[in-house]
Amino acid sequence: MESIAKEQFQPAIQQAHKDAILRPSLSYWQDAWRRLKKNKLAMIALVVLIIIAALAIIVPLVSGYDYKTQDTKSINLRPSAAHYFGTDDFGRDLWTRIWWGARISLTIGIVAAVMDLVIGVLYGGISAYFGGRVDSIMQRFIEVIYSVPYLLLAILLLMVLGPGMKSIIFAYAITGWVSMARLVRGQLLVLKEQEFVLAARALGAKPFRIILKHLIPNALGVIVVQITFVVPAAIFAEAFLSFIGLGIRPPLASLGNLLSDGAKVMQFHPHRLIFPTVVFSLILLSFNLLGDGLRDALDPKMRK
Amino acid sequence: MLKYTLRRFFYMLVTLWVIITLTFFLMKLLPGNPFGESAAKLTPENLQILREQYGLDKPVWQQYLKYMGNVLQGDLGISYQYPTRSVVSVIQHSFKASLELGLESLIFAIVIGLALGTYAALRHNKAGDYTAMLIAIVGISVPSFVIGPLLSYFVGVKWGILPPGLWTGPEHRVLPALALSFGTIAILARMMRASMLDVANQDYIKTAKSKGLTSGAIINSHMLRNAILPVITILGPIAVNVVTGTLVVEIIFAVPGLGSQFVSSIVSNDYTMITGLTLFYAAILIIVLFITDIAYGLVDPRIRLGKGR
Repeated sequence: MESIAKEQFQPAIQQAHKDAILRPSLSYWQDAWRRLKKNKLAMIALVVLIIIAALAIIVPLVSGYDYKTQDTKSINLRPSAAHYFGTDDFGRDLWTRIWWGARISLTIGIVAAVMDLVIGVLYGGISAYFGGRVDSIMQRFIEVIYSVPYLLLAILLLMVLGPGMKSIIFAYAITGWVSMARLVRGQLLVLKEQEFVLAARALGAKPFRIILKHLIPNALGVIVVQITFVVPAAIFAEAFLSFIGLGIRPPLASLGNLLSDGAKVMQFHPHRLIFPTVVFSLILLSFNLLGDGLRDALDPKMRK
Repeated sequence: MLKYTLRRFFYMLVTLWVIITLTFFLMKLLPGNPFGESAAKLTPENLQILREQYGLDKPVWQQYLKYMGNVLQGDLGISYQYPTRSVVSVIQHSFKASLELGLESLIFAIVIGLALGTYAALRHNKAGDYTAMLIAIVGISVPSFVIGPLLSYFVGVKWGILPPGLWTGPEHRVLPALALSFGTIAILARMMRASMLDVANQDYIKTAKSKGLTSGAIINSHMLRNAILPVITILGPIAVNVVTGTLVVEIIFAVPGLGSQFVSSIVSNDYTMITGLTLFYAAILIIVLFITDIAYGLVDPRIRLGKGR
């Protein structure tokens, strides 16, 4: 008999690694980030926002001008090497003022969003978690607040508090949290019926711990998307209020008052309208595109 | 449906009451003297007489009841700016222009917005889709107080196609209404596009196709009708957009409406006028929200029968 080599009796496939998972498992956020990266528009928007934020932080520090120093010798200059965006009717450097304005507008947007987040998440969370009578009373209250037009309330509040950044943020936060609260409540109503909440409760977790540690993190996707829409809405509100004379008061610059000043002198000094418009629109556009992208990335229903 | 309507009506009344109350107490907090600068020249006795005349010597709760009573009777007070004019007469005088502007802009927005959204959905992921959505996103990110002056300057002054301002004939309404409708067009177009795409994936569209209907018939009688339903829900927020937008657009185009009155009263600290007009605006918006709620309940039975809250 011819001898058969021993190797020929080896199993064809190495069985050991058959069940191993080759692709690393992705967390929810890694998965969302992976999908967001594929969305070119959203990524461009993110980059634009980072650039704008960086300019808004850095330019006022290094431009060599400040937002209020007037210079009667250089009034309404066109853009030049000394003044990249030209100057306004008090001879103030527009490049500096626009980035100051962006800084203030972004601050308003972000702080308003954070306040929205805190109030809305707590209110919606409590309302959804306790349910029953607590929920229905809290919902009736929301129902009333929801139909109060916020810009009108903001106008009244600003009359009382006086114009300024704090008043604008306060006025926005007092009316803006309602959508967030509704959204959070809707999400939590679904989540709170799930087993992991029951398990946490069985282990003796207190309601606030369950809301903050178990329910909110699971609703975070929706909340993040909502925030990307709150920020531009607050920035828009500031611009609107500035236009009707209740926003940020000169000499302090905000994109709102730069825009409304620019619109008045558009025919003679177009640069004073063009530059603020471009920055303002880029901020709003980017937040909206990023929000759209995030919604697609974070919403499991959109998965194919 | 009756129960649903009554409940919505009750909420509407509560909201109005909250707004009146809020306005009253905010007014009490307003800085300054209600009799203006002339108060300094008055003797304490005269001031006392004036205070009694306006009921300011009474406790706040009595003032509040009186104010509520006045508002319910349609009396919003006398303007500080023009002591001979009451807030109600100003509203009667200038509401017509604002209403015309608002309605016309709403018509523009609905026609253009829905058409744009439908077009984008039918050309999904093609050049037409991207162009339409680009227009829509520009509408969201460029505020009306930039679009307004641009339209006024280019179309009105430079090319001279339409009058750049004032309010004397129908041709004067086109530009302001267009400027006002830009943001709304954008919202409607995006919403309509999403809604159309959603409908296009439904089984009944496949059925309609397999029956051999022409694409025109499918779009008309199956897609549009179903796609337009969700769009009705945002008519409320859209009305809010248009109404607050009139404030800005009326100034830019020198429209003699309520909005320009409102802004000029803010500039001159005319407190009664501001609060009166705020109340009036709020009431309009709340009534519009009420009507949209009812309309949506009428077209979608799930809302009024199910968890309609």
